[in-house]
Amino acid sequence: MPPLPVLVDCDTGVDDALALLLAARSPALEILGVTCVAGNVPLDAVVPNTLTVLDAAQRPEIPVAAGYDRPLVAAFESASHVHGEDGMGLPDWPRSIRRPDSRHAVDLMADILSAAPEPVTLIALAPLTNLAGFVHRYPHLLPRIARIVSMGGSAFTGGNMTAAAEFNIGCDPEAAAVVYNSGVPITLYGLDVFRQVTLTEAEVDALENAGQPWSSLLGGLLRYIQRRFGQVEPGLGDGGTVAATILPDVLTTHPHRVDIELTGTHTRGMTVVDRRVASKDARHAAPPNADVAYAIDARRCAELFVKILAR
Amino acid sequence: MPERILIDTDPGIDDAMAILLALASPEVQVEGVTVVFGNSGDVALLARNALAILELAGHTGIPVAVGAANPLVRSYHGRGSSIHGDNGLGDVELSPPTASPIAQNAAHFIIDTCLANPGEITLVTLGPLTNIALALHIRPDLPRYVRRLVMMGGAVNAVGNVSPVAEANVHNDPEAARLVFNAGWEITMAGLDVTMQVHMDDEYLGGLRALGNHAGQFVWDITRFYIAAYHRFGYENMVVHDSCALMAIIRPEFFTSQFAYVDVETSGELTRGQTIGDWRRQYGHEPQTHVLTGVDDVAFKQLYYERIATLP
Repeated sequence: MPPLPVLVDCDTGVDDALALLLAARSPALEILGVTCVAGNVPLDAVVPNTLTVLDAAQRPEIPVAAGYDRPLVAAFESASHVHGEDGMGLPDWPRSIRRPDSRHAVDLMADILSAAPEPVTLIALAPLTNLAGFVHRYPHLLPRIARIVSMGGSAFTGGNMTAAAEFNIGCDPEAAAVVYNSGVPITLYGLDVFRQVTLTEAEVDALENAGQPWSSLLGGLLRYIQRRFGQVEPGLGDGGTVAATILPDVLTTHPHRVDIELTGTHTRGMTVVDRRVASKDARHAAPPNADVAYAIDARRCAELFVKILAR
Repeated sequence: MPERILIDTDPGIDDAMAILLALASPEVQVEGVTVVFGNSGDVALLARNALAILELAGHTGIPVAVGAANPLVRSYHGRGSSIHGDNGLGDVELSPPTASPIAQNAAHFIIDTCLANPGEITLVTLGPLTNIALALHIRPDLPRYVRRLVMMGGAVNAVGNVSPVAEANVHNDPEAARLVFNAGWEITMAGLDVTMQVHMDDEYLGGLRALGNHAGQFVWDITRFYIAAYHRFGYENMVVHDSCALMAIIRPEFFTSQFAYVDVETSGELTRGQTIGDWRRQYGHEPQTHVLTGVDDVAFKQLYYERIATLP
């Protein structure tokens, strides 16, 4: 199998860092570029974090571009209470001094998609602001996106930012609405499966002590997750999204119409997934626009993560 | 001692099945029936249905009070006949009831009954929550006098039925539901999370008909329209939403539940009428709702059958 060409959009982010390490080291993916957006932490922390992770992964040649520093419409609210002020829970870790690509994220995406010989899969690990900007600026290039694998939202488990909204969608609901109405096929990798991919203690030890250039950083990230969330078996978060892109058959998905609630006292930023049996009825007009992940083979994802990063 | 209940209802095919279950069950004592719009917008028709059901079961002394014909704030959208038929009972013609509704309005009847029996009355709601909200508007301290409220309504983690996320009773009057959820009483919620788990097919319903009594024949007759509607919507069998609320009182051990703060979305353009479960305690409110999430459907249907068998 030739590697799958991908773009990664991220707001690094503790679990984005795990995702980037896996993506950068996996021979199954060809990362054409990484774009950064405000989300877990402000953009001016996301960019150096992203460069730092790619340095540790020994992949400094991957182009990294900064995108939007705020949502399309909403006021920006970070999740630094989860990811630490620095975004990786490692404030003392030296950050890369490299500069990002001079292009804006959406322009880098456009250049890469124009040049790619085949449609590219977009792994979206952050608020969908950059993607919405791309939809508006380069609508003629949308057919060059094979699929968006979006960590965001949920189908039946509620939210984490609020009782109804997951952070990536809730941070920029309007951008999410633009993306979900863009016509690009989407895999909704939501909270329903997101929390399930976890490492055992032994796997954490193996990853931390693997003696690879990224092992020390990876160990620090996993120890932070253990401490911050009181998880003996740390969740991989966005790392699971990348694993599920590499191993798409780990996901059980169902096609549904998904719309984003933009108003709502309690529900703004919620992914409204029409799971009604009757929605299969032709009288309900809106056709499915997303493959919603209901279940995941979490162990296979974790084992892939360990296999790639502990060797 | 049976639990003394007031049933607020919009009968309604599954309402009728639930009322029959209540009348046939010694664990509850029906003190009155109040009628609200919902499955139909014609509350006089729904009150006649209620009276006819009571008479069919041989309970002529139970007062029936007519209540709200419209939601608290917005107007009734008038869907319901596609599930329940134009007369609310699958277009099955019942002989006209001999009794009439009482003169008192439903909200006042609820208040008077509860205040006269402090701590004794359980409110069982099978329709939109408008009558209860109207009663709360007059007597905000009503919860102090009520034992508890058991509702059929809402969908916390389950799929909605009138929208991707909203259940019909709550969606019919989200503002009223919001007032009821935040009134300060303990609520047991039989929403779609649990009601979609009790399936009845024609074989089971045929068994009720074969009981040979009026009630079993009546349930068979009215469910012809209802089950056809479910088939039209793509379901194999029908479900009996409202009976779940009664069964949760009669046999709580059939059910599993989770305790959470539940609120109602009233403004969302896609999510109006959704019930939100605050599972992570993010709203700063104490839990108030036992959300029923699981049920022993086999035991449920066995007992339902046994109880219908005791009716005329």
